[in-house]
Amino acid sequence: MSVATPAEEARDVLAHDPHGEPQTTFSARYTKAISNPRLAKNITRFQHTWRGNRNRSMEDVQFEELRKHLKVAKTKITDDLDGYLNQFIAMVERTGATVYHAVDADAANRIVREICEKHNVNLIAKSKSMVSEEIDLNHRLAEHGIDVVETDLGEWIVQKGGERPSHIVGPALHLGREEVGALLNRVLDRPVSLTDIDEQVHAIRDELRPVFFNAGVGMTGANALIAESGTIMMVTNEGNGRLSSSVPPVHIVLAGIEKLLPTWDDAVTQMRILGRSATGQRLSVYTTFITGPTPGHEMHLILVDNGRRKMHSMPEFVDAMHCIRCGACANVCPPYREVSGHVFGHIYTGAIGLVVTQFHHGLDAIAKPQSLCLSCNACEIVCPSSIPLPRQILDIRKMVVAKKGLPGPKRLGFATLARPWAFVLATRIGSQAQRPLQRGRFVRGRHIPILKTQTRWRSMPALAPRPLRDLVKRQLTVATGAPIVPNGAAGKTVALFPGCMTERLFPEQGLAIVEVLQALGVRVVHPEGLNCCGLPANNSGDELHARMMAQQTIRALEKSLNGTKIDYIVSGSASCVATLAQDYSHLFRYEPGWKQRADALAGKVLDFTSFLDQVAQLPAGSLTGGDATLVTYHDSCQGSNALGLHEEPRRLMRDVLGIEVRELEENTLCCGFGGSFGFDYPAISERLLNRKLDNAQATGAMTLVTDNQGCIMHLRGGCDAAGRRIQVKHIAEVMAERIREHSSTVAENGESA
Amino acid sequence: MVRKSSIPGFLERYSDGVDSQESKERRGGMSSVVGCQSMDGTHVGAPIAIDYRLSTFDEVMTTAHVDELVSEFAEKLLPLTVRVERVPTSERAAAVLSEFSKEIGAPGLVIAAELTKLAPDLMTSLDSSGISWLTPADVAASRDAPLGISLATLGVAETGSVMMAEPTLADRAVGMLTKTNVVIVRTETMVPSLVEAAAALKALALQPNGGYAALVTGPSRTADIELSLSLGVQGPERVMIVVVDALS
Repeated sequence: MSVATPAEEARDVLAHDPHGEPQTTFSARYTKAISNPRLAKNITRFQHTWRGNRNRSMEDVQFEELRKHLKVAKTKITDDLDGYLNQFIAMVERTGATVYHAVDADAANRIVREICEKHNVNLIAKSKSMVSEEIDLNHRLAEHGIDVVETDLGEWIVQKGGERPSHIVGPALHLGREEVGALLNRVLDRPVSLTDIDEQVHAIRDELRPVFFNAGVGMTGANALIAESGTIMMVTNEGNGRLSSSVPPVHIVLAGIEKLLPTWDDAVTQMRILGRSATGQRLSVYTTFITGPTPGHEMHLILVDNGRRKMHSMPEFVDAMHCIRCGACANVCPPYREVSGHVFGHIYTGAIGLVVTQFHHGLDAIAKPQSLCLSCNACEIVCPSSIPLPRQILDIRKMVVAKKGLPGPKRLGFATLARPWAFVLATRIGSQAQRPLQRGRFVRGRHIPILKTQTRWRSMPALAPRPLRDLVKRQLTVATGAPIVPNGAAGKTVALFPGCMTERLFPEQGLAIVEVLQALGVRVVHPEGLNCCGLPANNSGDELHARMMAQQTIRALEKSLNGTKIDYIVSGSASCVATLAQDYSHLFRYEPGWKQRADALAGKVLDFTSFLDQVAQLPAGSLTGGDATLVTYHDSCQGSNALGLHEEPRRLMRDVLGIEVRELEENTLCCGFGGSFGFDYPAISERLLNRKLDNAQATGAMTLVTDNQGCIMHLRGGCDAAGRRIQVKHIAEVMAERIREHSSTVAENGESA
Repeated sequence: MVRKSSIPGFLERYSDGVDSQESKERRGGMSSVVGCQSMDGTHVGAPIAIDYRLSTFDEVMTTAHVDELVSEFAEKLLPLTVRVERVPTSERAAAVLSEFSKEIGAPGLVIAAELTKLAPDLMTSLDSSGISWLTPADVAASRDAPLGISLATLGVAETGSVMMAEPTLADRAVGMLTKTNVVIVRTETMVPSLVEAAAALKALALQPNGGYAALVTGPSRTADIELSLSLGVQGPERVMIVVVDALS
């Protein structure tokens, strides 16, 4: 992290603290969170339980089908926002309810205040509403002598504790029972157990009961606004939403305009997917449908813009309007687990918080928190609205970088990486400079003060003495012979895209890929002029250098495609493949020429595992070996979340090679590498790394296999620093070893015969 | 999407249609006592697998027997601690209610006015069993009352939900503010999935003044502290469902 100037720190302060908590900077919140071991424990337990419940609840539906339907419905809304808005409003107004438009937070707060003043009300019973948090309602109304009491249990706890919700769905999930118990003993007039959660819950229930009857106004949010009938759909588990909307004589609804749904059909889809995604329930306990006021009561509906129309107008972010606020993105987020939503987000937390905050609270409010995303893509996998969250977060990051610039070392790093001559020079200098600290394939610096934070927990890889391009030359001149086993790839020509890490740090992995492909009868070429694909710059928000490197890559690959007929471009790096095949298209979205060129290449790009699975289609049992081998597999984020690989590597090892793959716990959870993430947030990166290695060791396997050089570098470094004996290998290395073994057996048999 | 005549119980109240003979026939005969915890301990019929994504009411009803719908409904509520009983008549329903009120020690019942009007025989039977009951005049009448009896518009097998659409606020409060809530569901109003429930909810919403309804699935709960489940945090702590074949 760069050192912030005092002025920057001042802007970074959480300006919208709803409860008058002493305002803190991001750095202070981060430090507080990371040094509280109980916090990560609470959230880890939550994430584990949620994952199990969520997956079980999805068993009787087709998640992909449901989210496709929801996407269609939500896209109809964003395609014709005003049309549906007008339909909805007309249907609401026919019932006698009053509809208001609030352009911003001040307007929304003023409308609520005026309704209260008209009815002489100074107590509001409110059920959970993230929009009310967004507009800072409680605090703003308190300034006018109106007391807003949160009636959702978790929300009540954080209100009493002078905090804000740490999670969209579970406001108090960062707290344990002892912390809640201590709070209750502080704010209630009676002693409450520190350990009995049921007693705590009922103490709060007794406290809240009279509020519904004494309040002159009840406020609720909305989970959906059904346009065809003017209905508000609201979901709660406690029943406080029904009480807030029924008992007080005046009901005020606060809803963001993005909550619209066209029809009841769509509402059914949202019902089926929301409870499952939010809490792993088939349906939340109370799904309430309110169309117009209860006879004798008043109903006021405030439709809040507050930045949503700006979000709607930007093609990069319009999909964020499809959010149904289930919180799933936070529930799978690895850094979130370590620091909670009080750090990972602003008012809205989790991945969606990193995206929408700039529209509601400005870019400054999210400038620091957005750097906590390590681009693992886990959120997109579980998002019920298929919001491209990881890509949107990178677009936010690019806006932050465009406004504030990159920290010096990163700027220099990417400027070097983007210029091949400078990169070559830097690696030459580096390979000399690393010598005093080099131990085998690693550079250790844990005794050197300035390197300590970075290398105490993971050793850095040493630059290889010679890059892949020098080493591979001789191997490429060997004429491709007959395949050792019949397969679908024999006779094909493949251009190797090694990636810069393979090129400079792990050339032996590049050689292993070439060896495997050649043994299968594939002709391999190593295109000239390849450098870095641009991923590190792209993931750091450095659009300028990302584009430079992408253009270089496209040119180099096109050149090699020009001369020879190339069937596929294959890489051993799942990350590079995701960049080439997916990110370039977005990077060049405003340059049709480059976009077309990128898309043309994307069709040929395959990762090593997919190539073997889809193209070579090696028969089961065709490369089994003598010794029974046991390995475990780490699903890299790009491999599993971006490329959708899961069964493929297992088929390859289990079926083709006959290797036993023992699954490690949380196998798709990020290892903590995340490009420069480890440099920015070593404490989080270290925890993720050690969790991954602990889980791998627990399987009893001595070999940890994966398909991404970033992970390999990180995992090997962690093993070296901690003296762990587990070996980390690329899946190509495992394949190459087996092929070598196989060839020598064939040769021996041939000789003896 | 859904034929109007598919939801007879609902139509009596909100629409101009009448239940067709055809749909009655399709539902077929009903066994006397079925459910996950029926009075005599029988447990009839395994839940049928319905593909909710594709289901339309007509399609499903040709294959799904109403007994199976009730079984599936009860099955879905089992993990939510909800007791489901199926009885053939109002007399049997009254017996279940009086036994249950003794079991939980409730001195009297709060009964939704709508139910008392719709089921005079049930009331007569309750009276003859000596149970005291009242209909709520306002919201406060239900506040923390030990036992309240409500009438559902329909039951949803897919989720184990009951659709509540009480005509008055006082009746609505019975299901919101009592400690234990028994919900009466007429067997013929059991529908397979949320699609049919949504058709009923939509018809209500399209009434000139709209309306207020809810799908209720089990007792009030929270897991806000350490994901530990607590029941009855704001709404009823305990929910029991009585499915009645011939409510009168």
